[in-house]
Amino acid sequence: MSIDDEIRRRLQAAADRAGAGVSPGSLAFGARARAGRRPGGRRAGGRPWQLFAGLAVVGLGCGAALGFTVLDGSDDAAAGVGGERYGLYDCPDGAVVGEASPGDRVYVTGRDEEGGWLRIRDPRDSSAERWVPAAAVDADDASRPDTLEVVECAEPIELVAATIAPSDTLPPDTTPQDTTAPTLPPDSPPAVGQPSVNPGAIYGVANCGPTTATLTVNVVGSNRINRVRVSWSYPTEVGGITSGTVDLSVNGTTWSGPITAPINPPADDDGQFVNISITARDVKGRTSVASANNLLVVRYCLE
Amino acid sequence: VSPAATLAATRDPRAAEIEQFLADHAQRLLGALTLITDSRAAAEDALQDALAKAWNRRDQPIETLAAWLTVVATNHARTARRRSAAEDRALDRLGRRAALQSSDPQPLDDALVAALRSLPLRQRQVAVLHYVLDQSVAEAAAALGVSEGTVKTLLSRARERLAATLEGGGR
Repeated sequence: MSIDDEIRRRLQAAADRAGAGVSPGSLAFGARARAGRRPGGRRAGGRPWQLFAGLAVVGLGCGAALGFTVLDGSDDAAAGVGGERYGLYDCPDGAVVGEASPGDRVYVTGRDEEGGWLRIRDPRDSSAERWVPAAAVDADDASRPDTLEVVECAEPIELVAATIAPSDTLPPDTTPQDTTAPTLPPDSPPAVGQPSVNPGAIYGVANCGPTTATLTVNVVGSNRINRVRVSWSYPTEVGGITSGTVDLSVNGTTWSGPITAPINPPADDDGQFVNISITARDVKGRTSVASANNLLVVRYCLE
Repeated sequence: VSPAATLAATRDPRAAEIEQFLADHAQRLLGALTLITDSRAAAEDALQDALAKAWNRRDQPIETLAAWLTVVATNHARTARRRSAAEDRALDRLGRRAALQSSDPQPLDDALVAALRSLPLRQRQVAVLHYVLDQSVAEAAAALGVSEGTVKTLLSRARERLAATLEGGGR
């Protein structure tokens, strides 16, 4: 027996001992109960649980996204269960903004990227679109939700009341504006401003969030700046350093460019700061170097 | 509005699929997680949480669920362990830890298991996926979201440590 076989045999035996006596039914029940209470809502007003319902879904697919009205409620009674009501959400993991009864037949108009949530027309208000956990609905044809268009939740626009002052309240500002850029002594090396990175965290695995951030930095010089180069690196799980170099693009005195996380996970799963070095060079070959080691975190996740 | 978590389960084909999956694989899977987490209770907790997530991932083929659950559950368990460690430190400061400690039944004092647990988490995950759950390098890479090369590197290092334990007479 090879070493590999021996390791496999013994670890599998140990695993079977460690898992002995488990009750699959209890596990399933516990999981189902947890699936019914998601972490807190996206914002105040959200309910800290996810509601399950026996909503029967009809009209799946492209046709449903064209704005059909909710079906007549005559089917509701036949499919209804008790007097329960189920939450309808304004967005995935959002706030409860409506309710539906088990057995309601609703149109599905889209799904989120992961397929965990479906966007439906509110059975009580066909002009409103709501979100429900995918597990809360029974599709007439179980395979068809996958064909739905992936849509994003439309964030409500929060209006802020404001009063515009009458035009004669303030005199027009006639002060001449100084539009000249700050000047540097002749033949000064490039001056690199404080860089910024947006977003502040990127992921080595794409299904968790953005994998690319944009670094922006202002660079001025007494001579024309002809290159701003960013070098970045971070320690990885398997040892060694993951690194990259990117030449930024310029718009006026603002230079920007992408930093993309490779798939190698960082050494620390909580996130790893990316070490960033910015080198600016002017046409006379003068260079300046600035570093920014706490602006960007690369993370690793699986969900 | 009230939660009614059990209604969907009686109608949801995903529920039946997961229950069948658990009937076939729960023991090995829970054992694998226990080897990784060093705690049966933590493994059960992590597995249930991962299952809850799986419930809503209808696009996740059931055939790949074992590896996916293992990875998600071990990540969950690690987070829980960190939280627990912080709680332990707080209890230590209060002098109450001894009274609240719990223990798992049947500690596994196998040298090979001990060697496995001494590995860095990612190596442990890869070793368990490969040796305990019989995942290929490609399958483990897909579950972990890393390249096959990374899995090979991690597996090679894990194997080196485990083999040394065996060759050293670890039983």
